[in-house]
Amino acid sequence: MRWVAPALVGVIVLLLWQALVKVFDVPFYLVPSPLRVMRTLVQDAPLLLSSLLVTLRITALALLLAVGLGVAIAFVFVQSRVLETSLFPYVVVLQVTPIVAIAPLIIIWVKDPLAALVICATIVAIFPIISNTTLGLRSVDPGLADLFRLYGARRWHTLVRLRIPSALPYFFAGLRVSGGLALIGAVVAEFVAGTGGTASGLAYQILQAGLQLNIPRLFAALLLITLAGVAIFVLVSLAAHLALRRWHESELAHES
Amino acid sequence: MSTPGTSQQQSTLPHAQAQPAHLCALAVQVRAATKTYPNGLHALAPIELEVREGDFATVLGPSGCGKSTLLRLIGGLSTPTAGSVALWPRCTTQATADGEAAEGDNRVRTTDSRRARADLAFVFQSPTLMPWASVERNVRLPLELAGAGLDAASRVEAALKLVALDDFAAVYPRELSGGMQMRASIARALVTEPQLLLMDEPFGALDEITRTRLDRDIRELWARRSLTVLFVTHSIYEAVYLSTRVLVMSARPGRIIAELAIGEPHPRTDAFRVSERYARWCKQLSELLAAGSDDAVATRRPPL
Repeated sequence: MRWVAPALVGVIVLLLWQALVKVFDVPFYLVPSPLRVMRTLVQDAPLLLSSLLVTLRITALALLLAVGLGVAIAFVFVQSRVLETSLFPYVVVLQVTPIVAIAPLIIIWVKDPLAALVICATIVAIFPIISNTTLGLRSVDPGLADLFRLYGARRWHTLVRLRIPSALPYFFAGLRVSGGLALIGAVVAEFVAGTGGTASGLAYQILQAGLQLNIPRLFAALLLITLAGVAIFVLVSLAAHLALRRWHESELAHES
Repeated sequence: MSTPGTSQQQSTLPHAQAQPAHLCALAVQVRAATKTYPNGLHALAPIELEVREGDFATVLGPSGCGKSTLLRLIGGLSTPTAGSVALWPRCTTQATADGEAAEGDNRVRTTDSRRARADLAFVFQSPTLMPWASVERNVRLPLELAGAGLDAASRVEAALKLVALDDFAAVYPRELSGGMQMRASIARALVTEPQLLLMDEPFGALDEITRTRLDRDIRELWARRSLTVLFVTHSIYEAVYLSTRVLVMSARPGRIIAELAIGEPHPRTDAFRVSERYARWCKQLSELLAAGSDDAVATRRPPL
């Protein structure tokens, strides 16, 4: 049921789309039929797949950087309320400033185009990691905190055995959001950089295809971005499941 | 002073409790301790409390009277606003009321915090187990935090056996019933082989049957391990069944208004729980409790 129902909806929509395009004889440079999109995907596979790899590389690097930096910043925040109070507003500023507005600056300042794009995507993806991990590291069961104090636990032990496990569910919830954001950040940054003609990611292919009115290729590139987003979500969910399945409510099978 | 000869002699004694108890056998000494929270809540009026080694002492009082606060002070989880709390206070001539000096007593202890910490365990109101760790790892935690490594596995096994959870070592806490979780929590407290066990209404959230069974288990453990237990409860029945001594607390700000020695031998059977003597103890305690709350109401009432 979990898989069949959405798959059925997908198939019906695709059939309907194919039928409507056929019946009303819509020109393919306006709306291509699903079959034509598939054909283009196969024909342009070498070009599109290499672009996909570029975009995925930026996304993966950005997500890794967001996790590393975000968790490190969360640890710093948890060590000191003063630091958190002083710095958190600036994290929020970074979060609310639209990336399209600052991407040109970053692309000008950072010479290496790949590095510039990764920085843009990281800025988009980092906020949920920081805020969720900070919240998680602070959400320690007070009874367990007492227990650790009673046995004279050292700071390191409390961090590794108490704070980090308590924070894991929060961290994964943040990671699930950040995974999607990293991809969005990468694509947006490519769009901005693409106008300069430097990158060859999927966003660049979409721009080019749009300019050339190659709508089937545009759809094919779009499809790949969507699939990449779904794949990232599934991977992150799988990681969360593996880490939490034995104990956390969110990952336990519900009996009814 | 402790000499090898005397300590040898002590360890070969079949019953450590048979030591001259009147000499120096205090496990806990609370002197004029008060607690006022930063928000102005006056939780404890000056408290005087002594628990002798081998006692099963129960603090009985109405909800919110400061019983838990008192236990947290003794456990070192909180500090008194005034007064002092000492564990195994060093014996001095002044400390013994009848003037007998502590000479020949080889059980002199200090309130050295590290020593006290190792000899003390706390059982909380809820099981407070780490949900992400198996029962075995939960019970092992105090040993790991203390840095004791070598015989950890056998001690964990022994502690689990003691509470009959040895078949559940690999199970996660949420897969256990409430009573089993509490037993895991008790195993964790016992794994360091403490001499003093502080228990803060540990069975309050459990059903009557489980509670009765755990009451019996904990009393068995107390007798078998020569433990000193300081137990907090608001149940008169539990207090009478478990204790050698019951300390009755008044409503907030809590102070100890009465003390009752339950002069019943061990073991206390299930028959004892339905005997007339048991009912008499309960009645007596209930009257002491009622007197305490009347007293508190009377002092709070504005003068006419």
